[in-house]
Amino acid sequence: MPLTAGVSAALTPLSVALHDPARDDIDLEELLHEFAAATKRVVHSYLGMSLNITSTVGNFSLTAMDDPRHLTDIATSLHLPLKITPGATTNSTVTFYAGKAGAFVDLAADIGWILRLTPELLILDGHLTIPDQDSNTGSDPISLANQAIGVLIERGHRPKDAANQLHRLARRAGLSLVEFAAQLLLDAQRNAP
Amino acid sequence: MTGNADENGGADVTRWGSRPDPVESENGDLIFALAGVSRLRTDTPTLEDLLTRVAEFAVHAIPGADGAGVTLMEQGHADTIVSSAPFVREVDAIQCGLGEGPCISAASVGRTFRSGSLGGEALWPRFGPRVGRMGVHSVLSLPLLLPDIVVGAINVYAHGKDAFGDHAAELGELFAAPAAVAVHNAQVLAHARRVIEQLEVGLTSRAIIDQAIGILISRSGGTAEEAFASLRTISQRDQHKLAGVARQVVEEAARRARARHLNC
Repeated sequence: MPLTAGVSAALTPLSVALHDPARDDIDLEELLHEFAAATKRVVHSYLGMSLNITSTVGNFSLTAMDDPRHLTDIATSLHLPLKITPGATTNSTVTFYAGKAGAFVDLAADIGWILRLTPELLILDGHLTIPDQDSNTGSDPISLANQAIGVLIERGHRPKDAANQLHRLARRAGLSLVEFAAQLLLDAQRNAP
Repeated sequence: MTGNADENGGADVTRWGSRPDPVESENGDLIFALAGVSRLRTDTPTLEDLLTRVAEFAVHAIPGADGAGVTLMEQGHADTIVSSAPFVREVDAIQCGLGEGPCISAASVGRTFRSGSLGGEALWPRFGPRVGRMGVHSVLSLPLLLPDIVVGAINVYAHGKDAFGDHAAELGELFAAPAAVAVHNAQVLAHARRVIEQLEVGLTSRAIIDQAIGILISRSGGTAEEAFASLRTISQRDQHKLAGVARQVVEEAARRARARHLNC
């Protein structure tokens, strides 16, 4: 499954963030390839997947299709939650797409059993169009928001309160979170000692 | 294989193939084992747990079995290995160490291998005698087959000689077919978990790094790129994870803020 430039660009900042000079780097693109290959072994009409992680400061989305020419061939989908990290404040989901109706019935049944998911959490055929390709939001808006949180921490806010404070200030200013974050960073640059 | 789903989103037994004659006790064991494979939801949150249960159900399904193990292949190499009993773990460890044995044979050629006298087995001249001296004399190794790939093998062992006849082999193959799909679906989930886990760790690490960048921008007036470069220089110089360096910056800023509040 060749990754588009958009997907690679979305993964690069995260790969960089995972960098540990004492160990081999974790290759997120390779992990994604292996995941797609494993899915294709049991679902032969597999076309691609979307991953979505929601955190306190934004949404990270990734859509990786096996072949962009098959976007209109989606006949079935499987959407399920994958809240992996215990106590995590993020909600993760994955949506699979395939070209043959019913292709995900068995996979849905097995994953549902293992994760003890109630039926309403496993959604078959509810996502038959992929998100806008530009929705590979990557982490840029999230990056900006977190940099702004850093500014607030430096100004005396506690780390656990800074995210809420950022939202409050943005609402008060009548701006989106990203717009306000950009403004705050510019202000911090100009007023640095 | 049919894809029938029951009301609770699981699948009924018929999903796994035709139902054997329930009168025969051996086939009854197979039905129990197949039903067990199809009802793993309450017991198997991890891939290793699932595979161990598959091994345990295999012991139920195959007459004469004293223990079983499951080996999963990943890119041609044994990746995950579980067992239903300690002696199976020892036997599989010998096999892995020697690079020779029934599981390796079954996984590499995609067919069932069987022996009733491992001590004198010519197929595995090093593995056989060693395992025979442990008192394990019979083996039935069943490949886990998907249409175009071998995903692993189920290895069933018995202490007695000639424990697995043709009927046991047939039952084993009946069991292995749906087990392969269930096992591989669990592998798909394991891959999903790995990807999501690394993405979440990456996002969390990136968040800390970006907060540190914001702190450095506030102090120095520089750009985000310059702040990032500073963090990376420290990371490489001190051989610390980039996120760890960033965390120290954030924690130090938080401490200073707390101290300022205390002094007010």
